Amino acid sequence: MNLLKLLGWEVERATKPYLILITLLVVAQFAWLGFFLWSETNMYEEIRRTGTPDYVLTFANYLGGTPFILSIGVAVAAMVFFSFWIWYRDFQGRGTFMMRLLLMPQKRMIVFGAKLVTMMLMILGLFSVQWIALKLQYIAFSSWLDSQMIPVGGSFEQAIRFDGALSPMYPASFVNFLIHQVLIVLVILFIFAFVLIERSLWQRTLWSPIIAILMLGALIAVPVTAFFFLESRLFMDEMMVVVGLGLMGWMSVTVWLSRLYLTKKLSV
Amino acid sequence: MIIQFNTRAPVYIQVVDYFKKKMALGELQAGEEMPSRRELATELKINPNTVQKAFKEMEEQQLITTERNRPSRVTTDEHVLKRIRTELVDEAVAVFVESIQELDVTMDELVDKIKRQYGEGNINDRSTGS
Amino acid sequence: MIEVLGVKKRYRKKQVIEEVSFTAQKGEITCLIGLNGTGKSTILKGIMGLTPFDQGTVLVDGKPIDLNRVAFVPDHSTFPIHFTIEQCEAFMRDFYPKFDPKLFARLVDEFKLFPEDKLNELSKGTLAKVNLALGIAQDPDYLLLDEPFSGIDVFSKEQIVELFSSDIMEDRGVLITTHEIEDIEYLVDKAVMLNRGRIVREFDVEDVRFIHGKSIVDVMREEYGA
Repeated sequence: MNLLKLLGWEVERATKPYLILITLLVVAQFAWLGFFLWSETNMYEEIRRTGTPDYVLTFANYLGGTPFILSIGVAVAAMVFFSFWIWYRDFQGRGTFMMRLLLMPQKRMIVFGAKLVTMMLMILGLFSVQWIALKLQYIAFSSWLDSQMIPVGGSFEQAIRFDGALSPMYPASFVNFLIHQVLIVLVILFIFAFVLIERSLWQRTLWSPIIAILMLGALIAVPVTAFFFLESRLFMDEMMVVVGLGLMGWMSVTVWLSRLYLTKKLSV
Repeated sequence: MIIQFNTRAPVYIQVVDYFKKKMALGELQAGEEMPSRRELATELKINPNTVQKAFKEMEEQQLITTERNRPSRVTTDEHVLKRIRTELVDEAVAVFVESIQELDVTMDELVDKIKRQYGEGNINDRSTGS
Repeated sequence: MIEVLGVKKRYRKKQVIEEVSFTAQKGEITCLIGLNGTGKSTILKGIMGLTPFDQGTVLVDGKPIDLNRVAFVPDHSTFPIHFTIEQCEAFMRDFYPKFDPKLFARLVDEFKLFPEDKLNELSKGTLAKVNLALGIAQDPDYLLLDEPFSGIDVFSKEQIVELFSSDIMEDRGVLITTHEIEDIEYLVDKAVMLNRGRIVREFDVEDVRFIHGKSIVDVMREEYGA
């Protein structure tokens, strides 16, 4: 109950920067689409004047353009940045909101939970907005080219399925989708653990982020090394189990570590 | 109501002294209701515990009486009120004598001066006063 | 009673709090006095679990601290500065079960605050009053205040001092840190003096006036040799 209430506050506080990010993303993509269609149409006209164009345009041509890939990169970077910022924001300046959160007569893990769910909601929201934007872009793309009598090849689904940046975002099966979400949560958990360790080292110097990185690095490296050691001796099925267990282990250790630091060691 | 407190003397005794003076001057009549402890603390901007201590002291010196759940009242005992007056005069004279002794003044000179200055003070009071 | 028992804290290579033990009683105002940078805030934050001590124990009425019963008022805002006073109140109501909106309304009224004001529009004195109101409205048994008078105007000081002698504070235990004792000289029951990370004096203020004829500042002068 209190977790939900706190989630409400977190979401409200994140709404403004989030809406700005989404608007920028969509506007930038449509601007790029406009430019892409304009230059392609010109080129097609050019070729038509001298002969017959012998190629078709696909939606993948548009998706493969640097500006589009860049816009996805920026969105990913923004989410990574926000995973840090959602904590560091509360340690900022004289108005340290973290103090208010830690003084709440509530379990401290609700702070952790609310921030984690906020991040997940933002990421899933971003995926859905991007999906809708892609659909609209495809409609604009094909109807414009139709109106210019330029042949369009390939379907929407094909274009996305084979795109390097988009296929991880829109996996073909539900199981794949879940696996991707688990990986995303894991990245966020690592970032959260880093912040909590770093903020718990009261003697804050240049060393504290380094110490935090080393601790987290060890946490990540140990199972990875163990895995490479095992890899050659395992069959495919066994490997899946080991990887699954490894991921679960990572998750629980990271949450346990975060909980320890959040409840016992964090300093404001 | 403003008391200029001295930081080096217990505040509760200064509060007691303040009320003694008011009683001696008749500003607080015998049997009159005292202000509530809470009001007094807020007004004087001092700790309520200190006011409580001052009231207890005044009760012990029989300056005020408190019945259960009623506001305290100034004593109606004439002897006590007279005693306060004597006490205050004695204290003031003692302070005066102590400081004048350092100046090595003869008794005659002193009495003479007191008569003149104290007399003037009274005349001034009368000419300007009520 | 708040009991601080043998607490220690290091910061980098410096032992900020060597070893500190003292008590603060319910229904009394206890003042933690020390020059700037002697670890007064660190002790309050340590009691509240905001910067955990390296060693030692804190007990409130014999038990580990319960945040429902102890409130902390730091010397700065604990809300994002673009929050309005109303938003701060809404947050407190959501997560502090004992937060009393009626008491808060009374304090807002007495301090002449405007709930729709944003924190970053307020003067330091007004902000101090907002912090105090948010702290007291938690209806705590114990209230810890960090430098409530530092850098605020004389009228805000007066209003705050008046509040401490009013019925709103009745029966609460107050632990206050300050380096400007003059503001609260007549409010304090007990003084705890801190120097170089240790308690150097712990005394009943009226007793020292009565027995030694000394003010708090006199004792400070002896201890700090200023």
